[in-house]
Amino acid sequence: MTMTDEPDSVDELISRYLDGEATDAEIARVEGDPALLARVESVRAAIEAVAAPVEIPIEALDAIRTTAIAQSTTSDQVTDLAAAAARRAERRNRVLAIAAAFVFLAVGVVAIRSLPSVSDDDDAATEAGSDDSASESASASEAAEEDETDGAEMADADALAPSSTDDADDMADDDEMADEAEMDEEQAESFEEEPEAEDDATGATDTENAILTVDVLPDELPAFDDPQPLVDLIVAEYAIGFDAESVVGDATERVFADACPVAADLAIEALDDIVSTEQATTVLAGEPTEVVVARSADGTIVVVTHPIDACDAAVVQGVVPPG
Amino acid sequence: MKAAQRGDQRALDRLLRKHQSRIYAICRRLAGNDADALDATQEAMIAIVKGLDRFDGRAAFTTWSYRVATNAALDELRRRGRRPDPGLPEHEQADDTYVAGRESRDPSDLVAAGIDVDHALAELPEEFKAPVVLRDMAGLDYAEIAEVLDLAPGTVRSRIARGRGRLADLLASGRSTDDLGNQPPPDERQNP
Repeated sequence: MTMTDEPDSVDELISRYLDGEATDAEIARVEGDPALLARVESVRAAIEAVAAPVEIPIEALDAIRTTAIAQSTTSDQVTDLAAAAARRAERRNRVLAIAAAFVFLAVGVVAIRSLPSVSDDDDAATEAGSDDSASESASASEAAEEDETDGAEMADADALAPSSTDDADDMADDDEMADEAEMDEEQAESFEEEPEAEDDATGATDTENAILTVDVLPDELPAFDDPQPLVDLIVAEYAIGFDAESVVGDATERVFADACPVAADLAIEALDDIVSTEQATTVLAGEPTEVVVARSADGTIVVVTHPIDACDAAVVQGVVPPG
Repeated sequence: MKAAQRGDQRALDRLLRKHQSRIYAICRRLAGNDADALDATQEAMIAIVKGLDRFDGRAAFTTWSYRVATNAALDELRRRGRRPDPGLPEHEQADDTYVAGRESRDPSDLVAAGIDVDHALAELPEEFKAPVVLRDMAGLDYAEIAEVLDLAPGTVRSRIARGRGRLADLLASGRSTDDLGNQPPPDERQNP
Protein backbone atom coordinates (compact mmCIF):
# COMPACT_ATOMS: atom_id res chain seq x y z
CA MET A 1 0.00 0.00 0.00
CA THR A 2 1.61 3.18 -1.12
CA MET A 3 1.54 6.29 0.99
CA THR A 4 0.09 8.24 -1.87
CA ASP A 5 -2.98 6.06 -2.09
CA GLU A 6 -6.03 7.72 -0.68
CA PRO A 7 -7.43 5.67 2.18
CA ASP A 8 -10.86 5.55 0.54
CA SER A 9 -9.56 4.20 -2.71
CA VAL A 10 -7.64 1.54 -0.79
CA ASP A 11 -10.80 0.59 1.10
CA GLU A 12 -12.74 0.41 -2.14
CA LEU A 13 -10.10 -1.90 -3.54
CA ILE A 14 -10.24 -4.03 -0.38
CA SER A 15 -14.04 -4.07 -0.51
CA ARG A 16 -14.04 -5.23 -4.13
CA TYR A 17 -11.50 -7.87 -3.24
CA LEU A 18 -13.61 -9.19 -0.37
CA ASP A 19 -16.77 -9.13 -2.47
CA GLY A 20 -15.08 -11.16 -5.16
CA GLU A 21 -15.36 -8.33 -7.66
CA ALA A 22 -11.71 -7.35 -8.00
CA THR A 23 -9.99 -7.64 -11.35
CA ASP A 24 -7.07 -10.01 -11.80
CA ALA A 25 -4.67 -7.10 -11.60
CA GLU A 26 -6.25 -5.87 -8.40
CA ILE A 27 -6.15 -9.33 -6.87
CA ALA A 28 -2.49 -9.59 -7.68
CA ARG A 29 -1.83 -6.18 -6.20
CA VAL A 30 -3.60 -7.02 -2.93
CA GLU A 31 -2.08 -10.43 -2.54
CA GLY A 32 1.37 -9.14 -3.29
CA ASP A 33 1.31 -6.44 -0.63
CA PRO A 34 1.48 -7.48 3.07
CA ALA A 35 0.04 -4.17 4.19
CA LEU A 36 -2.96 -4.61 1.93
CA LEU A 37 -3.42 -8.18 3.08
CA ALA A 38 -3.38 -6.98 6.68
CA ARG A 39 -6.01 -4.44 5.75
CA VAL A 40 -8.06 -7.20 4.12
CA GLU A 41 -8.07 -9.14 7.37
CA SER A 42 -9.06 -6.07 9.34
CA VAL A 43 -11.99 -5.30 7.06
CA ARG A 44 -12.97 -8.96 6.90
CA ALA A 45 -13.20 -8.99 10.70
CA ALA A 46 -15.47 -5.95 10.54
CA ILE A 47 -17.73 -7.65 8.01
CA GLU A 48 -17.93 -10.76 10.13
CA ALA A 49 -18.75 -8.69 13.18
CA VAL A 50 -21.67 -7.02 11.40
CA ALA A 51 -22.83 -10.36 10.00
CA ALA A 52 -22.72 -12.09 13.37
CA PRO A 53 -26.16 -13.41 14.32
CA VAL A 54 -28.20 -11.35 16.74
CA GLU A 55 -30.32 -12.92 19.43
CA ILE A 56 -33.89 -13.03 18.19
CA PRO A 57 -36.56 -12.31 20.85
CA ILE A 58 -39.21 -14.61 19.39
CA GLU A 59 -41.90 -13.94 21.97
CA ALA A 60 -41.53 -10.19 21.68
CA LEU A 61 -41.66 -10.43 17.90
CA ASP A 62 -44.76 -12.59 18.03
CA ALA A 63 -46.46 -9.95 20.16
CA ILE A 64 -45.35 -7.22 17.80
CA ARG A 65 -46.62 -9.16 14.82
CA THR A 66 -50.02 -9.60 16.43
CA THR A 67 -50.18 -5.90 17.21
CA ALA A 68 -49.20 -4.97 13.68
CA ILE A 69 -51.87 -7.15 12.13
CA ALA A 70 -54.48 -5.75 14.50
CA GLN A 71 -53.55 -2.22 13.51
CA SER A 72 -53.73 -2.91 9.83
CA THR A 73 -55.87 -0.44 7.88
CA THR A 74 -57.46 -3.43 6.23
CA SER A 75 -58.36 -5.06 9.52
CA ASP A 76 -62.06 -4.35 8.99
CA GLN A 77 -61.82 -6.10 5.66
CA VAL A 78 -59.74 -8.96 6.92
CA THR A 79 -61.74 -12.11 7.00
CA ASP A 80 -61.76 -14.16 10.12
CA LEU A 81 -61.68 -17.51 8.40
CA ALA A 82 -62.92 -19.50 11.31
CA ALA A 83 -65.94 -17.25 11.85
CA ALA A 84 -66.76 -17.16 8.15
CA ALA A 85 -66.55 -20.92 7.91
CA ALA A 86 -68.73 -21.28 10.97
CA ARG A 87 -71.36 -18.95 9.54
CA ARG A 88 -71.41 -20.83 6.26
CA ALA A 89 -71.69 -24.14 8.06
CA GLU A 90 -74.52 -22.79 10.18
CA ARG A 91 -76.47 -21.66 7.13
CA ARG A 92 -75.88 -24.95 5.38
CA ASN A 93 -77.02 -26.88 8.40
CA ARG A 94 -80.13 -24.74 8.75
CA VAL A 95 -81.09 -25.32 5.13
CA LEU A 96 -80.43 -29.01 5.42
CA ALA A 97 -82.41 -29.26 8.64
CA ILE A 98 -85.45 -27.59 7.08
CA ALA A 99 -85.22 -29.73 3.98
CA ALA A 100 -84.91 -32.81 6.11
CA ALA A 101 -87.97 -31.78 8.08
CA PHE A 102 -90.02 -31.54 4.92
CA VAL A 103 -88.81 -34.90 3.74
CA PHE A 104 -89.72 -36.51 7.03
CA LEU A 105 -93.09 -34.80 6.94
CA ALA A 106 -93.76 -36.04 3.45
CA VAL A 107 -92.67 -39.55 4.30
CA GLY A 108 -94.89 -39.46 7.34
CA VAL A 109 -97.91 -38.38 5.32
CA VAL A 110 -97.34 -41.11 2.78
CA ALA A 111 -96.90 -43.66 5.52
CA ILE A 112 -100.05 -42.62 7.28
CA ARG A 113 -102.14 -42.60 4.15
CA SER A 114 -100.88 -45.96 3.02
CA LEU A 115 -102.01 -47.61 6.23
CA PRO A 116 -105.29 -49.55 5.87
CA SER A 117 -108.17 -47.41 7.17
CA VAL A 118 -110.88 -49.27 9.25
CA SER A 119 -113.73 -46.76 8.54
CA ASP A 120 -113.14 -46.83 4.80
CA ASP A 121 -113.33 -50.60 4.67
CA ASP A 122 -116.62 -50.57 6.55
CA ASP A 123 -118.10 -48.04 4.18
CA ALA A 124 -117.08 -50.14 1.26
CA ALA A 125 -118.60 -53.24 2.84
CA THR A 126 -121.82 -51.40 3.59
CA GLU A 127 -122.05 -50.19 0.05
CA ALA A 128 -121.26 -53.60 -1.18
CA GLY A 129 -123.89 -55.13 1.05
CA SER A 130 -126.56 -52.69 0.00
CA ASP A 131 -126.00 -53.30 -3.68
CA ASP A 132 -126.81 -56.55 -5.39
CA SER A 133 -123.86 -56.07 -7.74
CA ALA A 134 -120.71 -57.14 -5.89
CA SER A 135 -118.69 -56.16 -8.87
CA GLU A 136 -120.18 -52.73 -8.85
CA SER A 137 -119.25 -52.47 -5.21
CA ALA A 138 -115.83 -53.82 -5.86
CA SER A 139 -115.42 -51.42 -8.70
CA ALA A 140 -116.72 -48.65 -6.59
CA SER A 141 -114.34 -49.56 -3.77
CA GLU A 142 -111.52 -49.94 -6.18
CA ALA A 143 -112.36 -46.63 -7.67
CA ALA A 144 -112.60 -45.18 -4.20
CA GLU A 145 -109.24 -46.63 -3.33
CA GLU A 146 -107.77 -45.26 -6.51
CA ASP A 147 -109.23 -41.92 -5.71
CA GLU A 148 -107.82 -42.15 -2.27
CA THR A 149 -104.44 -43.11 -3.66
CA ASP A 150 -104.58 -40.27 -6.12
CA GLY A 151 -105.72 -38.06 -3.35
CA ALA A 152 -102.90 -39.24 -1.17
CA GLU A 153 -100.46 -38.60 -3.97
CA MET A 154 -101.92 -35.19 -4.50
CA ALA A 155 -101.74 -34.64 -0.78
CA ASP A 156 -98.09 -35.71 -0.91
CA ALA A 157 -97.46 -33.23 -3.67
CA ASP A 158 -99.26 -30.57 -1.73
CA ALA A 159 -97.24 -31.44 1.31
CA LEU A 160 -94.05 -30.86 -0.64
CA ALA A 161 -95.37 -27.81 -2.38
CA PRO A 162 -96.25 -24.64 -0.61
CA SER A 163 -99.73 -25.13 0.63
CA SER A 164 -99.97 -21.90 2.44
CA THR A 165 -98.50 -18.47 2.30
CA ASP A 166 -96.38 -19.11 5.37
CA ASP A 167 -95.00 -22.29 3.93
CA ALA A 168 -94.22 -20.54 0.70
CA ASP A 169 -92.40 -17.80 2.54
CA ASP A 170 -90.40 -20.34 4.48
CA MET A 171 -89.43 -22.12 1.32
CA ALA A 172 -88.52 -18.83 -0.31
CA ASP A 173 -86.39 -17.92 2.67
CA ASP A 174 -84.74 -21.29 2.51
CA ASP A 175 -84.06 -20.80 -1.17
CA GLU A 176 -82.55 -17.42 -0.45
CA MET A 177 -80.35 -18.84 2.25
CA ALA A 178 -79.29 -21.65 -0.03
CA ASP A 179 -78.48 -19.14 -2.77
CA GLU A 180 -76.67 -16.93 -0.30
CA ALA A 181 -74.69 -19.87 0.99
CA GLU A 182 -73.81 -20.79 -2.55
CA MET A 183 -72.74 -17.23 -3.36
CA ASP A 184 -70.70 -17.09 -0.20
CA GLU A 185 -69.10 -20.33 -1.21
CA GLU A 186 -68.12 -18.88 -4.58
CA GLN A 187 -66.98 -15.48 -3.33
CA ALA A 188 -65.06 -16.83 -0.38
CA GLU A 189 -63.64 -19.78 -2.23
CA SER A 190 -60.11 -18.72 -1.55
CA PHE A 191 -60.78 -18.44 2.17
CA GLU A 192 -61.62 -22.10 2.57
CA GLU A 193 -59.51 -23.62 5.33
CA GLU A 194 -58.45 -26.42 3.08
CA PRO A 195 -58.31 -24.89 -0.37
CA GLU A 196 -57.68 -27.15 -3.26
CA ALA A 197 -55.92 -24.33 -5.07
CA GLU A 198 -55.49 -20.60 -4.87
CA ASP A 199 -57.37 -18.34 -7.21
CA ASP A 200 -54.76 -18.25 -9.95
CA ALA A 201 -54.63 -22.02 -10.37
CA THR A 202 -56.25 -23.60 -13.35
CA GLY A 203 -57.28 -26.57 -11.27
CA ALA A 204 -56.58 -28.79 -14.25
CA THR A 205 -55.92 -32.36 -13.45
CA ASP A 206 -54.98 -33.87 -16.76
CA THR A 207 -51.31 -34.28 -17.47
CA GLU A 208 -51.27 -31.87 -20.35
CA ASN A 209 -52.68 -29.00 -18.39
CA ALA A 210 -50.81 -29.82 -15.17
CA ILE A 211 -47.74 -28.17 -16.64
CA LEU A 212 -49.47 -24.81 -16.27
CA THR A 213 -50.81 -25.47 -12.82
CA VAL A 214 -49.27 -23.83 -9.80
CA ASP A 215 -50.39 -23.53 -6.20
CA VAL A 216 -51.25 -27.21 -5.93
CA LEU A 217 -49.71 -27.65 -2.51
CA PRO A 218 -52.13 -27.21 0.36
CA ASP A 219 -51.26 -24.61 2.93
CA GLU A 220 -50.56 -27.33 5.47
CA LEU A 221 -48.94 -30.65 4.77
CA PRO A 222 -49.12 -33.62 7.10
CA ALA A 223 -46.65 -33.82 9.93
CA PHE A 224 -43.58 -36.01 9.60
CA ASP A 225 -40.84 -37.15 11.88
CA ASP A 226 -38.32 -37.27 9.05
CA PRO A 227 -37.92 -35.14 5.93
CA GLN A 228 -37.69 -37.97 3.38
CA PRO A 229 -41.37 -38.98 3.59
CA LEU A 230 -42.22 -35.29 3.21
CA VAL A 231 -40.18 -35.10 0.01
CA ASP A 232 -41.67 -38.35 -1.26
CA LEU A 233 -45.19 -37.08 -0.61
CA ILE A 234 -44.61 -33.78 -2.39
CA VAL A 235 -43.08 -35.41 -5.45
CA ALA A 236 -45.56 -38.27 -5.67
CA GLU A 237 -48.82 -36.57 -4.82
CA TYR A 238 -48.61 -33.05 -6.21
CA ALA A 239 -48.16 -32.13 -9.85
CA ILE A 240 -45.95 -29.13 -9.31
CA GLY A 241 -46.40 -27.17 -12.48
CA PHE A 242 -44.98 -23.95 -13.72
CA ASP A 243 -46.39 -20.50 -14.02
CA ALA A 244 -46.03 -19.43 -17.62
CA GLU A 245 -45.70 -15.79 -16.59
CA SER A 246 -42.74 -16.56 -14.41
CA VAL A 247 -40.50 -17.57 -17.28
CA VAL A 248 -40.69 -14.08 -18.74
CA GLY A 249 -38.43 -11.45 -17.36
CA ASP A 250 -36.69 -11.84 -14.04
CA ALA A 251 -38.20 -15.17 -13.20
CA THR A 252 -36.13 -16.03 -10.20
CA GLU A 253 -36.91 -12.87 -8.29
CA ARG A 254 -40.62 -13.05 -9.00
CA VAL A 255 -41.12 -16.68 -8.17
CA PHE A 256 -39.30 -16.24 -4.87
CA ALA A 257 -41.07 -13.01 -4.11
CA ASP A 258 -42.04 -13.88 -0.57
CA ALA A 259 -39.93 -16.90 0.27
CA CYS A 260 -37.24 -17.05 2.91
CA PRO A 261 -34.13 -15.64 1.17
CA VAL A 262 -31.86 -18.39 2.44
CA ALA A 263 -34.24 -21.06 1.24
CA ALA A 264 -34.54 -19.29 -2.09
CA ASP A 265 -30.75 -19.19 -2.45
CA LEU A 266 -30.47 -22.88 -1.67
CA ALA A 267 -33.11 -23.71 -4.25
CA ILE A 268 -31.38 -21.54 -6.85
CA GLU A 269 -28.09 -23.29 -6.15
CA ALA A 270 -29.71 -26.70 -6.53
CA LEU A 271 -31.65 -26.09 -9.73
CA ASP A 272 -31.07 -24.44 -13.07
CA ASP A 273 -33.85 -22.48 -14.68
CA ILE A 274 -36.39 -22.43 -11.88
CA VAL A 275 -39.83 -21.80 -13.24
CA SER A 276 -42.06 -21.99 -10.21
CA THR A 277 -42.07 -22.25 -6.47
CA GLU A 278 -44.64 -23.20 -3.92
CA GLN A 279 -44.72 -22.94 -0.18
CA ALA A 280 -46.49 -24.77 2.56
CA THR A 281 -46.11 -25.46 6.23
CA THR A 282 -45.74 -28.70 8.08
CA VAL A 283 -44.55 -30.02 11.40
CA LEU A 284 -41.22 -31.76 10.99
CA ALA A 285 -39.90 -33.69 13.94
CA GLY A 286 -42.27 -31.76 16.14
CA GLU A 287 -41.19 -28.33 14.91
CA PRO A 288 -43.37 -25.93 12.87
CA THR A 289 -41.60 -25.83 9.53
CA GLU A 290 -41.85 -23.86 6.33
CA VAL A 291 -41.53 -25.89 3.14
CA VAL A 292 -40.30 -24.27 -0.06
CA VAL A 293 -40.65 -26.31 -3.23
CA ALA A 294 -39.07 -25.20 -6.49
CA ARG A 295 -39.40 -26.69 -9.93
CA SER A 296 -37.04 -26.32 -12.85
CA ALA A 297 -37.97 -26.25 -16.49
CA ASP A 298 -36.98 -29.90 -16.93
CA GLY A 299 -39.22 -30.97 -14.06
CA THR A 300 -36.64 -31.40 -11.33
CA ILE A 301 -38.06 -30.67 -7.91
CA VAL A 302 -36.13 -29.35 -4.92
CA VAL A 303 -37.58 -29.30 -1.43
CA VAL A 304 -36.12 -26.89 1.11
CA THR A 305 -37.29 -26.59 4.69
CA HIS A 306 -36.60 -24.26 7.56
CA PRO A 307 -38.10 -23.72 11.00
CA ILE A 308 -40.77 -21.09 10.65
CA ASP A 309 -38.89 -18.65 12.84
CA ALA A 310 -35.42 -19.43 11.53
CA CYS A 311 -34.95 -18.69 7.86
CA ASP A 312 -31.19 -18.98 8.28
CA ALA A 313 -31.55 -22.65 9.22
CA ALA A 314 -32.91 -23.59 5.80
CA VAL A 315 -31.68 -26.91 4.43
CA VAL A 316 -32.21 -28.79 1.21
CA GLN A 317 -34.15 -31.96 1.95
CA GLY A 318 -34.20 -33.41 -1.52
CA VAL A 319 -33.54 -32.82 -5.21
CA VAL A 320 -35.66 -35.15 -7.31
CA PRO A 321 -35.19 -35.41 -11.07
CA PRO A 322 -38.23 -35.89 -13.27
CA GLY A 323 -39.66 -39.34 -13.72
CA MET B 1 -48.45 -13.17 -0.59
CA LYS B 2 -51.53 -12.75 -2.73
CA ALA B 3 -53.71 -14.17 0.00
CA ALA B 4 -52.19 -11.76 2.49
CA GLN B 5 -52.88 -8.86 0.14
CA ARG B 6 -56.48 -10.01 -0.18
CA GLY B 7 -56.85 -9.77 3.57
CA ASP B 8 -56.34 -13.40 4.53
CA GLN B 9 -55.29 -13.01 8.13
CA ARG B 10 -53.61 -16.37 8.37
CA ALA B 11 -51.59 -15.73 5.24
CA LEU B 12 -50.58 -12.30 6.54
CA ASP B 13 -49.49 -13.79 9.83
CA ARG B 14 -47.48 -16.45 8.03
CA LEU B 15 -45.83 -13.88 5.80
CA LEU B 16 -44.76 -11.66 8.67
CA ARG B 17 -43.67 -14.58 10.77
CA LYS B 18 -41.40 -15.78 8.01
CA HIS B 19 -39.59 -12.46 7.73
CA GLN B 20 -39.79 -11.03 11.24
CA SER B 21 -36.43 -12.38 12.40
CA ARG B 22 -34.56 -10.79 9.52
CA ILE B 23 -36.43 -7.55 9.86
CA TYR B 24 -35.56 -7.46 13.54
CA ALA B 25 -31.91 -8.30 12.85
CA ILE B 26 -31.61 -5.33 10.49
CA CYS B 27 -33.29 -3.04 12.99
CA ARG B 28 -31.07 -4.38 15.77
CA ARG B 29 -27.86 -3.67 13.92
CA LEU B 30 -29.00 -0.23 12.88
CA ALA B 31 -30.53 0.78 16.20
CA GLY B 32 -27.75 -0.65 18.35
CA ASN B 33 -29.85 -1.87 21.24
CA ASP B 34 -32.74 -4.24 21.86
CA ALA B 35 -35.34 -1.70 22.99
CA ASP B 36 -34.96 0.62 20.03
CA ALA B 37 -34.75 -2.35 17.70
CA LEU B 38 -38.09 -3.71 18.94
CA ASP B 39 -39.71 -0.31 18.56
CA ALA B 40 -38.37 0.01 15.05
CA THR B 41 -39.48 -3.53 14.21
CA GLN B 42 -43.00 -2.78 15.35
CA GLU B 43 -43.08 0.38 13.25
CA ALA B 44 -41.76 -1.57 10.30
CA MET B 45 -44.33 -4.36 10.64
CA ILE B 46 -47.18 -1.90 10.94
CA ALA B 47 -45.95 -0.09 7.86
CA ILE B 48 -45.63 -3.37 5.98
CA VAL B 49 -49.13 -4.46 6.92
CA LYS B 50 -50.62 -1.10 6.00
CA GLY B 51 -48.71 -0.87 2.75
CA LEU B 52 -49.09 -4.48 1.63
CA ASP B 53 -52.07 -3.81 -0.58
CA ARG B 54 -49.98 -1.27 -2.50
CA PHE B 55 -47.04 -3.62 -2.93
CA ASP B 56 -47.03 -4.30 -6.64
CA GLY B 57 -44.63 -7.22 -6.64
CA ARG B 58 -42.17 -5.70 -9.06
CA ALA B 59 -39.47 -6.00 -6.42
CA ALA B 60 -38.97 -8.97 -4.18
CA PHE B 61 -40.91 -8.77 -0.95
CA THR B 62 -37.65 -9.03 0.95
CA THR B 63 -36.24 -5.98 -0.80
CA TRP B 64 -39.36 -4.01 -0.10
CA SER B 65 -39.68 -5.12 3.51
CA TYR B 66 -36.00 -4.41 4.22
CA ARG B 67 -36.49 -0.92 2.86
CA VAL B 68 -39.36 -0.41 5.27
CA ALA B 69 -37.29 -1.87 8.12
CA THR B 70 -34.28 0.31 7.33
CA ASN B 71 -36.37 3.46 7.24
CA ALA B 72 -38.10 2.54 10.47
CA ALA B 73 -34.80 1.94 12.24
CA LEU B 74 -33.22 5.13 10.97
CA ASP B 75 -36.34 7.07 11.91
CA GLU B 76 -36.13 5.57 15.38
CA LEU B 77 -32.53 6.69 15.68
CA ARG B 78 -33.37 10.20 14.59
CA ARG B 79 -36.35 10.33 16.94
CA ARG B 80 -34.31 9.28 19.89
CA GLY B 81 -31.41 11.51 18.92
CA ARG B 82 -29.30 8.49 19.75
CA ARG B 83 -25.72 9.29 20.60
CA PRO B 84 -22.96 6.81 21.17
CA ASP B 85 -22.90 4.81 24.35
CA PRO B 86 -22.99 7.20 27.30
CA GLY B 87 -20.24 5.10 28.89
CA LEU B 88 -17.74 6.62 26.48
CA PRO B 89 -15.83 9.56 27.86
CA GLU B 90 -16.91 12.76 26.20
CA HIS B 91 -13.70 13.25 24.24
CA GLU B 92 -14.06 9.80 22.77
CA GLN B 93 -17.58 10.25 21.48
CA ALA B 94 -17.79 10.12 17.73
CA ASP B 95 -18.50 12.98 15.48
CA ASP B 96 -19.86 12.67 12.02
CA THR B 97 -16.82 13.92 10.24
CA TYR B 98 -14.21 11.50 9.13
CA VAL B 99 -10.80 12.27 10.52
CA ALA B 100 -8.20 11.98 7.81
CA GLY B 101 -5.07 10.07 8.52
CA ARG B 102 -6.62 7.52 10.72
CA GLU B 103 -3.31 5.84 11.31
CA SER B 104 -2.49 8.73 13.55
CA ARG B 105 -5.38 7.99 15.92
CA ASP B 106 -3.87 6.84 19.11
CA PRO B 107 -5.51 3.63 20.20
CA SER B 108 -5.13 4.68 23.78
CA ASP B 109 -7.46 7.62 23.12
CA LEU B 110 -10.31 5.29 22.27
CA VAL B 111 -12.44 3.26 24.65
CA ALA B 112 -10.17 0.56 25.99
CA ALA B 113 -12.31 -2.46 26.50
CA GLY B 114 -15.78 -3.38 25.46
CA ILE B 115 -15.96 -1.53 22.14
CA ASP B 116 -17.99 -3.94 20.17
CA VAL B 117 -19.77 -3.88 16.89
CA ASP B 118 -22.80 -2.05 18.32
CA HIS B 119 -20.62 0.73 19.63
CA ALA B 120 -18.61 0.79 16.44
CA LEU B 121 -21.74 0.97 14.29
CA ALA B 122 -23.13 3.68 16.53
CA GLU B 123 -20.12 5.78 15.58
CA LEU B 124 -20.69 5.35 11.87
CA PRO B 125 -22.58 8.06 10.06
CA GLU B 126 -26.01 6.98 8.93
CA GLU B 127 -25.04 7.10 5.27
CA PHE B 128 -22.42 4.42 5.86
CA LYS B 129 -24.20 2.39 8.51
CA ALA B 130 -27.31 1.46 6.51
CA PRO B 131 -25.54 0.17 3.38
CA VAL B 132 -23.00 -1.78 5.45
CA VAL B 133 -25.74 -3.44 7.49
CA LEU B 134 -27.83 -4.25 4.43
CA ARG B 135 -24.81 -5.72 2.68
CA ASP B 136 -23.06 -7.59 5.47
CA MET B 137 -25.97 -8.40 7.78
CA ALA B 138 -28.88 -8.81 5.40
CA GLY B 139 -26.87 -10.11 2.45
CA LEU B 140 -28.41 -7.85 -0.16
CA ASP B 141 -26.45 -7.24 -3.32
CA TYR B 142 -25.45 -3.77 -4.46
CA ALA B 143 -28.37 -3.38 -6.83
CA GLU B 144 -30.85 -4.32 -4.12
CA ILE B 145 -29.26 -1.94 -1.65
CA ALA B 146 -29.40 0.82 -4.22
CA GLU B 147 -33.10 0.14 -4.60
CA VAL B 148 -33.70 0.01 -0.86
CA LEU B 149 -31.84 3.23 -0.17
CA ASP B 150 -32.76 4.93 -3.43
CA LEU B 151 -29.12 5.54 -4.30
CA ALA B 152 -27.02 5.00 -7.35
CA PRO B 153 -25.17 1.65 -7.26
CA GLY B 154 -21.83 3.42 -7.45
CA THR B 155 -22.69 5.48 -4.40
CA VAL B 156 -23.71 2.35 -2.55
CA ARG B 157 -20.44 0.68 -3.42
CA SER B 158 -18.41 3.64 -2.25
CA ARG B 159 -20.29 4.03 1.01
CA ILE B 160 -20.02 0.37 1.83
CA ALA B 161 -16.30 0.42 1.24
CA ARG B 162 -15.79 3.50 3.38
CA GLY B 163 -18.15 2.25 6.06
CA ARG B 164 -16.36 -1.07 6.28
CA GLY B 165 -13.05 0.70 6.49
CA ARG B 166 -14.13 2.94 9.33
CA LEU B 167 -15.66 0.03 11.13
CA ALA B 168 -12.44 -1.93 10.76
CA ASP B 169 -10.52 0.93 12.32
CA LEU B 170 -12.89 1.21 15.24
CA LEU B 171 -12.93 -2.49 15.94
CA ALA B 172 -9.19 -2.91 15.45
CA SER B 173 -8.46 -0.02 17.75
CA GLY B 174 -10.60 -1.51 20.46
CA ARG B 175 -9.03 -4.96 20.13
CA SER B 176 -5.52 -3.62 19.83
CA THR B 177 -6.00 -1.71 23.04
CA ASP B 178 -7.01 -4.92 24.74
CA ASP B 179 -4.25 -6.92 23.12
CA LEU B 180 -1.57 -4.50 24.06
CA GLY B 181 -2.95 -4.16 27.54
CA ASN B 182 -2.89 -0.44 27.11
CA GLN B 183 -6.12 0.03 28.88
CA PRO B 184 -6.21 3.27 30.76
CA PRO B 185 -6.48 2.72 34.47
CA PRO B 186 -10.07 2.70 35.58
CA ASP B 187 -9.80 6.07 37.26
CA GLU B 188 -8.71 7.68 34.00
CA ARG B 189 -11.81 6.30 32.29
CA GLN B 190 -14.00 8.42 34.47
CA ASN B 191 -14.96 11.93 33.48
CA PRO B 192 -11.89 13.73 32.19
